[in-house]
Amino acid sequence: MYLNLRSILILLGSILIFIGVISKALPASSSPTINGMIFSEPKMLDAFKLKTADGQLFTRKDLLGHWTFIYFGYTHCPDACPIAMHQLKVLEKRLQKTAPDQKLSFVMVTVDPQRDTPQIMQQYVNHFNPAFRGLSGDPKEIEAFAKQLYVAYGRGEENTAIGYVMYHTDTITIINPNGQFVAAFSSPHYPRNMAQDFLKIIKYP
Amino acid sequence: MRNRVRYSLLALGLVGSTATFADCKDLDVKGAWSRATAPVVNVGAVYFDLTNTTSQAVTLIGGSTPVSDTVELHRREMKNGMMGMRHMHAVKVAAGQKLEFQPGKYHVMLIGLKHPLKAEQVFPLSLQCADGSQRKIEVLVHKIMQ
Repeated sequence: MYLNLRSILILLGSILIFIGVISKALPASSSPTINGMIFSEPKMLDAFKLKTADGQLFTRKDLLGHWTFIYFGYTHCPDACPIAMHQLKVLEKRLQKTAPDQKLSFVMVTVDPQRDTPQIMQQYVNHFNPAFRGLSGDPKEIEAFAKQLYVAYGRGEENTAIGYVMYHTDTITIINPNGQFVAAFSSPHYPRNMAQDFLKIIKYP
Repeated sequence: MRNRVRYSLLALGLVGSTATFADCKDLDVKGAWSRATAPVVNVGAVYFDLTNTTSQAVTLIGGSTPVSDTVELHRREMKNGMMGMRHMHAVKVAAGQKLEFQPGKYHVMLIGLKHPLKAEQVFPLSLQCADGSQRKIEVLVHKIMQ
C-alpha cells in the first residue's frame, strides 16, 4: 500500500511537471497557427536603405500604409526563385478577392547584389507582375536588412558555368502597414495556404 | 578449342549487349518542360520524368541545346537551413530506377540563354551520358511557372 501511494504521488507529480513543460513550450492559445512563424508582438525594424531601379532609396517609409511581402532571391536562380515569385503573383490575385480592403505590396530583394543591379531586379519582377518592386543595393545594407528579417544567405560552389550559386533562406516575410515585421511564411509557398494564413495574420494580435 | 571459341563468342555477346542496353538513347523520358523566362535572365531549368528502362545503370553527365551556351545537371539542396543547388557532374541512374527532374529536386540547368524562353516554344535538348551516348528530347516551354 505504501508503495502504491508513493507510485501514485510520483505519477501525479510527473503529470504536473509534464503539463508545466508543455504549457510553456506551446505558444499562447490566441496565437494562430500558420505555415511559418508569427510574432505575438510585431517587431520594429532598424533603419535600412535599399535601391530601386529609378535610382531612389527604398527605406522604412516605403513599408508604411500597406502590407508588404518580401522575398529574398537572385536572378541566376532558375528553380526556387521563379517558383516563389510565381506563387506571390498567384497570392496577390487571390488576396484581391479574399482581402479586398487590404493594401498590398510585393518586393523581391536580391541576395546577389554583385550581379543583380536594381534595374535587373525590376525587369525580373516585371515578368511576374509590373506592380512588384525589385530591389538591390549596397551588399552590407542588404545583409543587415536580411538579418533583421531572419533571412540568411551565402555564396555556394563556383564549379558551375553560372559562376557561383547562392544559398538563401526560402521564406516570405510579412510586414504590417506600420512597417513592423509580424510573420514569415516557410516553404512550400502554396498560394492557397498563404492566403488563408494571411487572413489569420491581419486579425492578430 | 571449340569451347574457347564459344566462350569468346559469349564474351563478345556480353560486350555487345552492354553497349546496347546501357545506351542513353534508350532512356524513357516523359513530359519535358521548361518555364518562360524574363528578358534579363540568362538561366533556365528543364524538368521531366526519367526512367532507366534498360537492364544496366547509366550515368548522366550533362547535355547540350541550341538555346543556351551550357547545360548542367543540378540538384536542389538545403545547407544550414538555407536553400541552394549543387552542380551534379555525374548522376547515376540504376537499371529500372526512376529519377524525378522536378522543381525542388533535380533539374537540367540551361546557362547562358541566347534568347528568353517563350511560352509554347519547343526546343531540342540532348542529354549526355558518360559512355558518350545521347538521348535527344523536345522541351515545351510553359507560361505557368511552377
